[in-house]
Amino acid sequence: MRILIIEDEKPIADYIVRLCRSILGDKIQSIRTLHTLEQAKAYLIESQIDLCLLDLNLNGENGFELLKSAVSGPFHTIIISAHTEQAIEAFHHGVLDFIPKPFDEERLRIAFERYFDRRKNRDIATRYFSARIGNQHKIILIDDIDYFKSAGNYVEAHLKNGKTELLNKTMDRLGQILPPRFKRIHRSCFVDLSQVYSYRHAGGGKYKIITRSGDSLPLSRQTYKELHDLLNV
Amino acid sequence: MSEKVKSPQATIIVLFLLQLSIGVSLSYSISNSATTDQEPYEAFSFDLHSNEVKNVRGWRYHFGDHPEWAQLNYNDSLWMKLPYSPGVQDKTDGIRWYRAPIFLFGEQDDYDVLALYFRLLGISYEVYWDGELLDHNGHVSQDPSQEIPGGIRKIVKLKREFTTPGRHLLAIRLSRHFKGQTYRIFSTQFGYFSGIQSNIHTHSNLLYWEGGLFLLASLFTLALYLGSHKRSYLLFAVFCFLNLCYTAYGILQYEIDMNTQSFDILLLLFHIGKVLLYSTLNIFFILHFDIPYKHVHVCSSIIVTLVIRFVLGSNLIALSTLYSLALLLYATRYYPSESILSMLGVSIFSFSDIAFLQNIFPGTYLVAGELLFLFCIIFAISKKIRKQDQLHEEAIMKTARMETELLKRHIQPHFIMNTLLSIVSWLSENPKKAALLIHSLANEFRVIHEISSKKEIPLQREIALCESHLRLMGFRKDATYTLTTRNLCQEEAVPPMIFHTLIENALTHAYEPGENGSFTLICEKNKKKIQYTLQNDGSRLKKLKEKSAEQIDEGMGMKYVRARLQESYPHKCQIRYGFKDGNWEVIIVISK
Repeated sequence: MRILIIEDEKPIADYIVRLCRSILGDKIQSIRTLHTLEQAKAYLIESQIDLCLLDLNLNGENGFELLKSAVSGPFHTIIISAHTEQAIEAFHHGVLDFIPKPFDEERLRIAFERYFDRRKNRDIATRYFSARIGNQHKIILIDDIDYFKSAGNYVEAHLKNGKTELLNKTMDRLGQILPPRFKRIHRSCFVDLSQVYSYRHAGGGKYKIITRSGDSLPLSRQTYKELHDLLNV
Repeated sequence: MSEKVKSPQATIIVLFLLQLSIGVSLSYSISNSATTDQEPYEAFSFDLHSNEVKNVRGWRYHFGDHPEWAQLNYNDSLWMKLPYSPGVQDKTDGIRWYRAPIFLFGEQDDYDVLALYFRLLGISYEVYWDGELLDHNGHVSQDPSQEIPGGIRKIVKLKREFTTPGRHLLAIRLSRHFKGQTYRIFSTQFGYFSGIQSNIHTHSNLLYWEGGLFLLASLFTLALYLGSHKRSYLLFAVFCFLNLCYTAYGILQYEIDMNTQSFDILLLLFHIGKVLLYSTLNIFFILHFDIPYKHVHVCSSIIVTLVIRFVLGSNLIALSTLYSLALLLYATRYYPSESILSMLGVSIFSFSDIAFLQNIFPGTYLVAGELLFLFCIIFAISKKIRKQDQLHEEAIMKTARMETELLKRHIQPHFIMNTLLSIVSWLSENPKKAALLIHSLANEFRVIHEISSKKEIPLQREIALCESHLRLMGFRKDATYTLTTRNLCQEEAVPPMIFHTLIENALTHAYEPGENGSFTLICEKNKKKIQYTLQNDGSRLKKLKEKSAEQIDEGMGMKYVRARLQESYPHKCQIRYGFKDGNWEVIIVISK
């Protein structure tokens, strides 16, 4: 596991490193501490990480800019901040957890558990996604998305207006931060259940879902059963 | 917004123009009547049935002295006509005679007698009716040393047998060596005795009313002055008191049988008083509405009043309120409702004054006008007091907010939480440092608690607080921060947490993590100002160098500093910042 810690107060950064090592032990492949936004931006362009531990107020600058950039990456972000009033907005942007300062080892352990747990266990739903287009970040409202479809290392977000945006996320990580109305109907697909028009057996052991916009999506046998039970109760 | 502003301004301009046009038309009509005398020269006739009191007209006069001139049948057709118009004054001395034929018709009243009422008639005179001497006032003489000035008022009753229907002659033999201002022949009135009496009562009653009105207003505004020590109230009290004197002068005419000489002195006082009266009214508005260039306006308003007095005369002196009206027009920008009320009041006051003196209004209307005027002004005063109360409350609220802001700045969660987390992190690594950090934090809170409610604290204290904060932040950021002071005038007082806030700002924005920092506080003092310069050597701000100072957004901290300095040194404080010799510096200049 590759961890990046962005924290401007060195003693605290050291403390977080110590706690990470104590909780994760051998699971850590690499751990890196950075103190400023500029360093972090530069580092994220060059390096691959799995988890970013981010302080939202670095040297008096607003870390939301970095947050938007971070959540567009393929890694998870956990916020460590004393500004608890920013927690809800952070969750809206799709962070995995928000740890209020001061915290102890136990609280950090819970955050790591969330990282490893594939189930959705967040109280506040994500509202926005951040898609990277060149050097910029485009904010996509999650309500505008009909379904997500995997596309190699990326995920395609299919919007209600027929457009497609490419997200730098894995399907598993997406599953951890999506609101509950998105169901994973197939290894390669999340769909907003309210956008489902029909589902049917397509023959040859294959199942399909037709969305309101007329797109046809693959449906796993397992989910087909679940849907069937859900609707025929 | 713009519509809201438009309508009161329109009202004001209309009011102003109205006042101006009234003033101009009145003065025009007066100058007109004084220069051309187109009135038919008619003999004075009186209906014996009527109960009215009339001014005697149709006078002819001649200089010299002859007993025959008192006779009914003397031919005076070659004598000069005395034009019937107010304001005609005869400044020559020596004996002269006045004759006015009087035609009586109808039937005499059985119970009442006719009478002549001489008011303010010059000096010493003898009254003849159909050649017979009826009465005299003082002693008439060709020799100035022999002349004895008489009283200012005289009622001469006419026996019933004298006032039979038909032609009669009223003749007055008069000498005037004494150069008073009281000589006015037109105010000789003729009518039944009871009518004259009731006229006098009505007039004096009105004067008592007027006096009471101004006495009350004067005492009321004096009380306001004593309570608030605002000079404008005192001025209005003086203005009301002068009005009271003015009415008292009227009352004196009726209550005291005054000698013409002493009355003449009183009249001079009255003229001075009237100039004073209108000057105080103008000055009252200048002070009350905080008109800028006070002294200039006070002087020029007095000059305007004097010019109007001497050019247009005493009767039109109320036109000097045009000066107040112009100022009030200006004041509508800041106190719209108050100044409109005042303009209305002043317009009513000056209009009724002019109209009364020009005999357009009866006295009752004058008193009503004055009543309205006082109501308007006192209403405007009360509105302004209310506004000041509101401002005062806001100021108190602001100070309270400032205190809260100060506390909030330091008890804000992120400061405490980050510090606590630093303590936690030091606890395992270096418990001694953790303990020191706890002490620094405790010390800082203690000081902040002590100074939070103070408007100003000694500079020494502020510096101690800054040093404590630097120590604390040094532990947190794992760096060394120092504060050097130069030329410090320790006894100087500053609003709390000014430098503390600036240092806090610099620590957040100026330094890279782990970078050591040094601050310098320099104080320069001379007779005119104190200048504080706070420098830091942070490397991050140097990147800002390309940006000009205006482009830098001021955060909450800077706003706090500005608000606090503005509160302690209103309009006497300047803050500048920028680079100098590679250091970022904030300069605070407080002028004395």
